[in-house]
Amino acid sequence: MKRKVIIIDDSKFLQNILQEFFQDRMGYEVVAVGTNGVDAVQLYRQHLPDLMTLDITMPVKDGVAALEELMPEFPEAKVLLVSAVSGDSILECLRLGARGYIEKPLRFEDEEFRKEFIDLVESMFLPVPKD
Amino acid sequence: MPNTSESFKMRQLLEESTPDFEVSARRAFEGVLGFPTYSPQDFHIASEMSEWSPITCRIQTSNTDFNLTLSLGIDESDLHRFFPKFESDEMKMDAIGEIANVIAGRLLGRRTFKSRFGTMKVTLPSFPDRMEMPQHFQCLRGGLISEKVRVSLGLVVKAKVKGAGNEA
Repeated sequence: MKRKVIIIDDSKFLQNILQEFFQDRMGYEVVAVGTNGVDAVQLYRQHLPDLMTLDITMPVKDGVAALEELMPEFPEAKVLLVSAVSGDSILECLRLGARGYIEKPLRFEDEEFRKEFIDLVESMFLPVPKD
Repeated sequence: MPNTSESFKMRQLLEESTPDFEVSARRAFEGVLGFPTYSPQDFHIASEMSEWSPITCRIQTSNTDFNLTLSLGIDESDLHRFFPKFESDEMKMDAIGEIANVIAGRLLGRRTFKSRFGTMKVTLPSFPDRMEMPQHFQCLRGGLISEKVRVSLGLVVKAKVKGAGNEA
């Protein structure tokens, strides 16, 4: 069965790039696409995807606020941050429960980057070792 | 009147930030477009922005001490050369906004830049018809050429005057 992914980014340009890559290169089913943090929470509740990509700087509600609402309700959610920002916002998102971070731009034409991206996504599905 | 020592200090901070701005911009263009990008002339300090481009994307942000405005200008006719697969102008503009977003993210995240201006958050890109600039500002200006297209870049950082109006 195909894994389900939701893509959240306010840029249509980025939505298309991610959608194409997940569908054509990774065999995922893109079940929904959203443009802000409100969409992220609503679409997650509606589809319960295997994975959600999340931008941080977005209108209406940003990625940090979306995680603050989402993670207490779905602590097992697999959220991959895809953002141009670095530093404190990323650390805050990881503290809130995001599982991984990849920095824009998404250079999918670069083989090394593609491999890094796929490895990161796949690593999010590995069992978490118990203490 | 501008405070001369303050003005000198800002000029120095901007000059020191030249490599940060140029490297962030080049990497953003090369990363998003996948084309080699070069700088036809040195990035430099100026007392005015470059001529207003028909399409100018702007990102404004601030912290307690500084207002920052980053601008990226391109001719409308060149948009297609950058994004030949996109039919709609909306998508092309969206992609330009994404490049500006990546430049800002890289620039504001650089350790050297943060050590001079402190932490600032990346904000959403916009496409104003014209841009109000603060009085007595200094600007870091430059141009890049990618896929035979010239884009102009500008960075204005202005120190906030405590207790005064502080629009960027």
